[in-house]
Amino acid sequence: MKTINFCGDSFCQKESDINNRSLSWTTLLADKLNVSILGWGGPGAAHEHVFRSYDEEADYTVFCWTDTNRLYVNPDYSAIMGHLHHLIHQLGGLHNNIQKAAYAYYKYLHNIPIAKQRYMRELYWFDHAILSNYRGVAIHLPCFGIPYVFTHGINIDTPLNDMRSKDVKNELNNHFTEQENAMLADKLYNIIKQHM
Amino acid sequence: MQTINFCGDSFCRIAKNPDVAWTTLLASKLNVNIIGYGKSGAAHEHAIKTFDEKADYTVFCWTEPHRLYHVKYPLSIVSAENDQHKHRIYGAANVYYKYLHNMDLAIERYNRDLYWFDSIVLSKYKGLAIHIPCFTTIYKFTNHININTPINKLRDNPGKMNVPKTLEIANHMTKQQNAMLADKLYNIIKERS
Repeated sequence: MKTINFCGDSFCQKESDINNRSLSWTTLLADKLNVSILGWGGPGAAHEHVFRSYDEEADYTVFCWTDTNRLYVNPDYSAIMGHLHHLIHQLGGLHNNIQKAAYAYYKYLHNIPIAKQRYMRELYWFDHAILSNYRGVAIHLPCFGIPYVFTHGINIDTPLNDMRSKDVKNELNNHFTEQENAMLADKLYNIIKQHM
Repeated sequence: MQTINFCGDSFCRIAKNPDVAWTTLLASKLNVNIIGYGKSGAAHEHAIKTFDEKADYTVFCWTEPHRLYHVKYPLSIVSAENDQHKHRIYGAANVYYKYLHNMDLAIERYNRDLYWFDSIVLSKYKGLAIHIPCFTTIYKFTNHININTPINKLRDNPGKMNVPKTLEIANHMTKQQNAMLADKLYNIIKERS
């Protein structure tokens, strides 16, 4: 059976509610293509997680390229500035040394233009040194903005965040409503079929 | 008059004794103007940022991959630990290194940065560039000239132990080492010119 790999952040995460899993665009797309899913995105993950979860053996790979300011710490945790602020102001504070160090990092060391530049450079490297050798079909979905246009693979122009109605109450964990999930799966299926 | 640009860290910074520094000696031998020097404790980002495509010659001193780029402060594992109580920037860097820094990932990201710089920027450079690793060779450039021996290994004692500071009078090297490096680079440039 052929395989598909989803590399990215929460936009392509595995639905934690098992009752909703069949409604998510990842599952719907896999069903339409009749392929098995090798991996999902990680909630809150930095782009480094995408590089690390890429599998050249997958027949299809869907990348969800997240925002440029996340800090990869380890396979289970990437720091996000907004989340740290939320912890401080809404949830009573930072709970461990990693979170405290990440907060200090964003406050005193993080350089937004440099982070953006390095992100772009790293995607260039991934595009030319890694994806140039990929034999499967790759689709690149930007999550929030378009930081880089890939030479290898299919670029989707509309960021995932712009496809949302932001009807938060009716969203799955991947930030889309049931209808938006179905539309995205259809859209990607048609694009893949056109390119085959 | 032609120009030379030095992009890197303290190994190519403006020296306290410029007359004996390899940077000055090399510029003098080539009969060119120096348009830029390295910066003490700088990260590799500084080398990338100070590159000037208009320079006729560029000498890169590629530093170690664990330094953090900061406009004002030289941030390394050592400086962060030593100066953590002197300024909050160093304090933040110290906890960064303690809890967040990933040594292997820093090397990978350094390689990716240099891959991009090599492929996108240096491939279009019309001058002559020389790449000198400061401590170890991490990335081998496709464009221009790679020097195999790290500059730190030219020193009598790279660990700075048992060498009187007074002997290392410019860019961490003795007068003789500075002269030798300038000669070596001059000969390499002349062979390629």
